[in-house]
Amino acid sequence: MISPLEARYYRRRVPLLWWARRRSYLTFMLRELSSVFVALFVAELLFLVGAVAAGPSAYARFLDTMANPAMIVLNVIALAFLLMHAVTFANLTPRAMVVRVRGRKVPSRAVLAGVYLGWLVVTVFLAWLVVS
Amino acid sequence: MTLLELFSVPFMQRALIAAFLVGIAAPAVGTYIVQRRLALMGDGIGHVAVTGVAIGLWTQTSPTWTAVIVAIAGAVVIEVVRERGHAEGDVALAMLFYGGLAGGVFVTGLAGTGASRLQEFLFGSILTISVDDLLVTMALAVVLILICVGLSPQLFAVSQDADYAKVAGLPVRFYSILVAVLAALSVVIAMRTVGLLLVSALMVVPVAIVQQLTRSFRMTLLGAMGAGLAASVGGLVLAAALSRTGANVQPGPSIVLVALAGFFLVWPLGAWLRRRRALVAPFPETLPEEKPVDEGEYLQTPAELADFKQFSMCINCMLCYAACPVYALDSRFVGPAAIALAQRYNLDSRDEGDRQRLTILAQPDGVWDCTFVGECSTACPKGVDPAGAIQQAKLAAAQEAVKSLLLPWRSR
Repeated sequence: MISPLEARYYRRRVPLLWWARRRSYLTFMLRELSSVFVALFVAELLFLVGAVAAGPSAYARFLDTMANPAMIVLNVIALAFLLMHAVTFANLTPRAMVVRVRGRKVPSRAVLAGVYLGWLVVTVFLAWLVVS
Repeated sequence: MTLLELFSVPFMQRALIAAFLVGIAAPAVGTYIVQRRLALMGDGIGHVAVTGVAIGLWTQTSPTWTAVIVAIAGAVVIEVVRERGHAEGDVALAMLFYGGLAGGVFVTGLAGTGASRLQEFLFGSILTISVDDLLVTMALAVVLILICVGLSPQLFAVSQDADYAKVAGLPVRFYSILVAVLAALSVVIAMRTVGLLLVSALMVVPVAIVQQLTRSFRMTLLGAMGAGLAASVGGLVLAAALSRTGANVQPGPSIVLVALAGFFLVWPLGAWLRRRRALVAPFPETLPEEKPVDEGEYLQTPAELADFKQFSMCINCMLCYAACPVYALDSRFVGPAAIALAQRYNLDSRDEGDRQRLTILAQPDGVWDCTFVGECSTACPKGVDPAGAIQQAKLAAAQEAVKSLLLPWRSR
């Protein structure tokens, strides 16, 4: 048997820009990148909670920072990535999850519809929570 | 003053919260330490931490933080000396322990604070715990509990059989040192409750109690946390109850004695269970039941066949491996076709090995390496959808993990 050190010469090397060679690889890498923006939104939410807890002046300062044009542009980009993340994640659900009702396999379209319906319900509930 | 009124006093409430959290956190770490046959490690770290407390008293800073730093340093040194496995290792450790204890008393003397202040840390003084100390204790205890429960598969593997863990690809050294650091942290949070000299008892005795009854590791972990909680809160209540009769009993020793009493109470039950298990031990509890031959073959409905048929179409062309960037970047990844084949049997109604298979698939380099690029399914000429199979295996493994965490008695 050859040693692992020698084995690497027989292994095909992966080019640095492998993800740029195929559309599907590129979308995959963008999807992986979107997790950074998910983290950004989480951080912003935590800062918001912190500012609300710290009092009205801190909250005003937080709003000021967020109204900065650069922040708005960043957040719009982040939102686009987030939507991509959420939509692709939702679209993959039927493949990861086999749903059965009374022993019958639910068609993947129905599973998908359920996922989007659940998303809609949560969104409406949150919107209602924020508005009222 | 009734017992209930006693617990409405703020310092008693603080003591109760501290006892609650320490009672859960210390045995959680202790489970791994006992598993590694290092039951006295906590004691050693406790000795070293005395110096940390004394430095805190001398420099007028928080003894908790200096104790954290010195205890972690001491724990890492103990772990490194132990790992080297020299013949003089135990002598070196003994020198470290007594150096820590003597250094602590000496530095306290330099500080001129006298032995009474140090005694609070040596034997615990849960009643004088301040709000700041309590917050630090709470935060550290929560972190400890989360790590001990969350990383339990890795820490168990390393504590049980380091060689196997190494072969499985775990960074054994990192986890060994992590266990030592966790032990150091639990020593520090327990020092206000039971004291540095008795700290090891709270880490070891609850585990010893529960180990008489349990066989699975997870049950031991959860049971030890429960026993530690009962002992620390019970010991505090006992000390409070005795204080009403005019006695001056510190909670630290009473917590340890309650735990020891629990050990001897459980002893007969443990002995009975051990004898009973010895009778059935050589035989597996459940053998897969096979039908008699004259009842014919194992039949399946078309729906049962359809569950796995797609995954059984693989012709081993390996196109999915060629398409997988994860496999290209990390050749240790088991890869799409193998996992799809495993999932094919998991979904087969005639098969009963899905639990064993999921245990293997959930290991490092198993299903969790997959990031769902999806190109394997695109490349497959037979429409197997390995990517889908991997995600289904992930979901099943995750469900199994949550189930065994919440209902440990249902799994082994």
